[in-house]
Amino acid sequence: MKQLTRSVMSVAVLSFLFIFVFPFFLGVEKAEAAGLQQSSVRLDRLAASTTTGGMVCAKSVTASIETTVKVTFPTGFATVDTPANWTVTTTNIPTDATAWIGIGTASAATGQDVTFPSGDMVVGTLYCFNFTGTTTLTNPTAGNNLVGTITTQLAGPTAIDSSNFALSIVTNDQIVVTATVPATFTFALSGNTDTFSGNLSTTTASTAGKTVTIATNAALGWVAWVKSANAGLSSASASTTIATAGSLDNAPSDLASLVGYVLDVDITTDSATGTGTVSQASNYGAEYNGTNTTSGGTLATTFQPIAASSGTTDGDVLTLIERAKITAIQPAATDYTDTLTVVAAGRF
Amino acid sequence: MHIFPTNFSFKVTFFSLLFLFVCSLSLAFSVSAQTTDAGLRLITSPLPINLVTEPGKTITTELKVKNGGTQKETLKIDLMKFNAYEESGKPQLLEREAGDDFLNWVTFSEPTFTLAPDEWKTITATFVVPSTASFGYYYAFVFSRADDGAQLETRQTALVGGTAILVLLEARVPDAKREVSVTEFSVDKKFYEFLPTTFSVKLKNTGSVHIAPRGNIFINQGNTKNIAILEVNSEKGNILPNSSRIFDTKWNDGFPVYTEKTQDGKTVLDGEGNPVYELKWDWNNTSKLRFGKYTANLLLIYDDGHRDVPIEGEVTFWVVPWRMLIALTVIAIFFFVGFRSTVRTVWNKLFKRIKK
Repeated sequence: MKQLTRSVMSVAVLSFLFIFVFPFFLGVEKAEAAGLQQSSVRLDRLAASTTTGGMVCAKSVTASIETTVKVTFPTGFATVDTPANWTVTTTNIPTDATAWIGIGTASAATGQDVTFPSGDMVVGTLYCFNFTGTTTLTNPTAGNNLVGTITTQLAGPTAIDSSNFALSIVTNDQIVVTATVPATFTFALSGNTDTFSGNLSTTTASTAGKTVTIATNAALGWVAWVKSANAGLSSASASTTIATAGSLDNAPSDLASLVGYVLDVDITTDSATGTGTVSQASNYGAEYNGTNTTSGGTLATTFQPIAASSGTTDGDVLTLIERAKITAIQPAATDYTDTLTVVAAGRF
Repeated sequence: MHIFPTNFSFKVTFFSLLFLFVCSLSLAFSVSAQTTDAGLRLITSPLPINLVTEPGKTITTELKVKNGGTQKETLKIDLMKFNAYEESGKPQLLEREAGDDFLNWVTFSEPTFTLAPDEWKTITATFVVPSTASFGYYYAFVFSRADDGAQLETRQTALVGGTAILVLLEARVPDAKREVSVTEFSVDKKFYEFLPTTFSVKLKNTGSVHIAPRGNIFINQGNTKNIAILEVNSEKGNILPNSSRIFDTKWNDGFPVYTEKTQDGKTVLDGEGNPVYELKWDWNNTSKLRFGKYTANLLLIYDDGHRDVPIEGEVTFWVVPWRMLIALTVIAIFFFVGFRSTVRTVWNKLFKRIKK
C-alpha cells in the first residue's frame, strides 16, 4: 500500500514537472494571440492633418468568445479620448463581408487604443464596421508604413487574435474636377419642302406640315420667327399670286370665310423637361395660333414671331402647316409656290 | 485610206456614249439629291453674347456651330439686327435697313463653310469698331444653308431654316447714360387665399446702353423680416435702351400651395391655354401656413459704369386662408355648443338630485 502511494506520488510529481517545468527546458513558446486571417483599416481620407472616419475589417482564426475589438492606431494619429464620440455603422461594407457582430460605440479610448464592443465572431467570417465620428481621428503628417494593430479580445480583456495594418498618409488625396457646360441652342427643321395634300380649290387645302424642334439650356428661353418670300403663293408661269389672307392683328384668319394663303403654327410638344413653357402670346405668336383645320396667320415678308418659350427645354416641337383656298377664277398653273424662312434664337 | 482601224472607231464611239450615259446618270442623281426633303439640324453656342469694347478698337468673339444632321451641310452666316419687341425680353428680328452701318463692322473668319455630320466649327467674328461708335449695337448672326435651292415639285413650297446667335455690343464711352427705373412693382392680386404670389417688376431703361439689373425681393411680416428672399433676374436678362422689361417672380413657399397641374409630366392647360392649378397639401410644411399682411421690398442693383446703383420698391398684400378659417370657426362653434349642452345636462341632473 505504501509502495502504491509512492508510485502515485511519483507519477503526480512527474506529471507536474512534465506539464509545468519541462516545457521551459524544451524551449516551447509561451501562449500568444494568433494572427487574424485577414485584417485592414481603410480610412475615408488619407490627406495629412485631416479628420477622418474609416472602416475596420477582420477575420478571426481562433475559436473563442470575443467581447471586444481593440484598434491601435499608428503613432502620430490624433485620437479623441471620449469613447462616446467613436460612433459606428455597418453600412456600405464590402459585399463579401458581414456586419461586425455586436459592434457599437466605443467602450474605451485611451491614447492610440480605441476599444469597441464585439459579439462572438465565427472563425473564417470577414466582419467589418465603420467608425463614423467626424472629429475622432486626425491624420498625421504625410508618411508611409504607419503601422497599427487590430486585436480581438476575450473578457478581461485577453487578446485572442491580433494583426498589424499599415497606412500611408499623403499631402493631398483629392482630385478637383471642373467642367464647363456651354449655353447651346439646337434647332432642327424636319424638311426643306412641304406639299399641299391636293390641288388648290375653293375649299381649304393644307400641307402635310413640317416640324421645328428646339432644345436649349438658355435660362431665358427661346423665340422663333417666320417670314414669307412673297407673302403669298406665287406662280411665275401665270404671273400671279395667291395673296396671304387677313392682316397681322394677333388673331388667326379662318379660310372658312376667306380666300388666300395662311400659316398655322401648332405647339405639338411643350417638353416636360426644362423650365420653359411654350406660348403663342399676343404680339408673339397669337397670330399663327390656328385653332381648326382652316385657320392660320397672315404671312409677311418681314420676320414675324410665331412662338416663344420662357425657359430651358430638351425638345419643344412646333408644326408649321400652310393652308390655302382660292376663288374659282384663280388662274391655273402648276408652279404656285412660296419660301418660308424659319429662324429661332435664345432670348437676351 | 483609214488612219485607224474600223474597230477603233467603233470603240471610240462606244466609250463616248458610255461616258455621256454615266454623266447624265450622275446628273440625274444630283438633281434627285437636291429634291430630297432634307432636314436641317444645327447646334450653336454660346447665346447670347455680351461684348464690351471702346471706340476705335477691334474685338473678336467665337461662334460655335455644329451640324447635328446626317448629311454634309454647307452653311452661311447672315447678318441681321434685333431690338426689344415688347416687355419680356423677346427680341424682334430685323433685316438690314438703310443707315445700319454698324453691320459693316463685322467680318467672319469663314462666311460660308462646310460641316460633316456631327462636326463642330468655330467661327471668329471680328468687330472693327470705329472711333465714332458709342453705346449699344445689337446683332443677330443667322446660320442657315448656303444654298437651299430645293427643286420644287408641283404643289410644293420651300422651307428654309436657320438659328440665330444674338450679340449685344457696347462701345463704352464716358458720356454713356446708364439708368434704370422701376415703373411698376406689383402683385397679381392684393388678396390671396393661398400662395403663390406673383410679383411683377417692370423696369425701364432710360439710358443709352443695355443694362442687366438683378437683385432680390425680401418678404416681411410685421417685425418678422426676410420670411422669404426671392431672386429677380438671376439669369441676367438685359434691358435694351428706351425699352421696358417685366420680370416675374413667384413666392410659392407656403402651405397649402397652388401648383400647376401636370399629367404625364406635362402641364395641364385650360381651354384658353392657361395652366390649370391644383391645391397641394404637403403636411411637412404646415409651419408655412401663411396668414396676414405681408410687405415685399424690392432691392435691385445695376452698374452705372462707376458704381452699383440700387433701385427699390415696396408692395403689400394679404394672405387669408378664409375657407380654412370658416371651417375652423364652424368646428369651434359645434364644439362649444356641444360642450355647453353637455355641461348644462350634467348640471341639471346634479341640481335635480340635490333638490330631491
